Amino acid sequence: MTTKVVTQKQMYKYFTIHIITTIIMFMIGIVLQQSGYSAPLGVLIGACIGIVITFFSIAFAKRRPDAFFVHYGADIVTRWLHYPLMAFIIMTNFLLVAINLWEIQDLLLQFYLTGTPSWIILGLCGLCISYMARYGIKSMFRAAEGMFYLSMITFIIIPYLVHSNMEWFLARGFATIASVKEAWPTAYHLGSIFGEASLILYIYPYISQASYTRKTTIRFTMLAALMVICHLIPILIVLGPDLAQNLNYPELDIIRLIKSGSYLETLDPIIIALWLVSIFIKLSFILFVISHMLSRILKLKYSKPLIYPICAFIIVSTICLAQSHTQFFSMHNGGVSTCVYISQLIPLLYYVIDVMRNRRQQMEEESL
Amino acid sequence: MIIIAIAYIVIITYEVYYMKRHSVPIKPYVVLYGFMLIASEILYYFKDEFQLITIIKVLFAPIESILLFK
Repeated sequence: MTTKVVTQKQMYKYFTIHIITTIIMFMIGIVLQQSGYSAPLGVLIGACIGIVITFFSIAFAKRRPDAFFVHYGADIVTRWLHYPLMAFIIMTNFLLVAINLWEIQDLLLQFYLTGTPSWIILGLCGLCISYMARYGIKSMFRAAEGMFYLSMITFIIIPYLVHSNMEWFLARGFATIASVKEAWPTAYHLGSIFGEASLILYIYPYISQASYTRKTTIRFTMLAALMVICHLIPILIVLGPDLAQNLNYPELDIIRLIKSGSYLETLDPIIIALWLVSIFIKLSFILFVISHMLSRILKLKYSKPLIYPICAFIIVSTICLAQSHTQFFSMHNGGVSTCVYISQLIPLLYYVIDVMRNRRQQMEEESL
Repeated sequence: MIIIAIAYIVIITYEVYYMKRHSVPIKPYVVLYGFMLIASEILYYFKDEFQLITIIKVLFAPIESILLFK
């Protein structure tokens, strides 16, 4: 039997960081481009989509709480279907790590490590990620537990520090311009990020007090949505939608507008360092899930020796992911979210088949 | 390409050493490492003609444009 090493509190803290970092670091510019003033509404709808997807995963995991999905999935849909589906999920997770790594190297190359070869940045980031993933599931959740309050302070303090720069007349736009139609693209893209919490299914046997997982899911999704909205609104009011949507990292630009003293004006390196640690925790978790799934599919007893080679493969994939910034950002409207949604909804297929099979068995037993 | 090969050789040597110390059967892992090395080299060799983004776009962009009412 697997040891229950992940507590509900750790899960709450980890997944809050998991969701917030990606959206605030990399997605805000894209979200504002797509929805403008309707973006906060889109975040709320996206959070609801994420909760629904995660609930399906939890409902399915609850049917066999002590077994790993990768193992018992073959009994539900036959091996011939199970292994290709698992391969698709693994490839999607590969893609998620590659995309985030590309975004990290792009951010570092633009602001801090100008002129450095990208493969060196990717190699160092990959080393950090794989080192943490190698220490096992406990290390990531503990790291998240430690980082949570520090990250939260930075995430809360930024909207407060920029309040003097806010152009309050722009706030009228939330009441007059916002619409569900405009919010839908944001909801669709962010729903896939909120839905990443469905990775719970792959680590369910490690979770203690698993009956509280749904409550925890609602709590961390709501907190994450609230934090994202708390960042979106100041960006919209300080920069305005037209300027904000043309910036790659509007969050960093509002930090530069802080006028609370010379020390706080140079806050961005500290924040970048905290964000990087948070995103490393996230990526190491996904890397851990990939190695875990791969080792179980290939019937290998240990997943640890797979982590470094998988990470090396991901780094090469990241180098080959896109050639330019424009090409990379065109990808966000080019199907990545759909690919992620499909991988998140695959367990739903298993769930439906499992329920139908059980009902059929019950009916057969009753007829006998 | 040479750097990728060197990185893989370093990783594989480290992992083999680790597995020997923990008496883990090495054979299935080495096969997988070999596969990953070849896949990485191929991916890197064709990086100008072939980008992962293009595949994703071809496969999923039509579905996404329908779902986003474009």
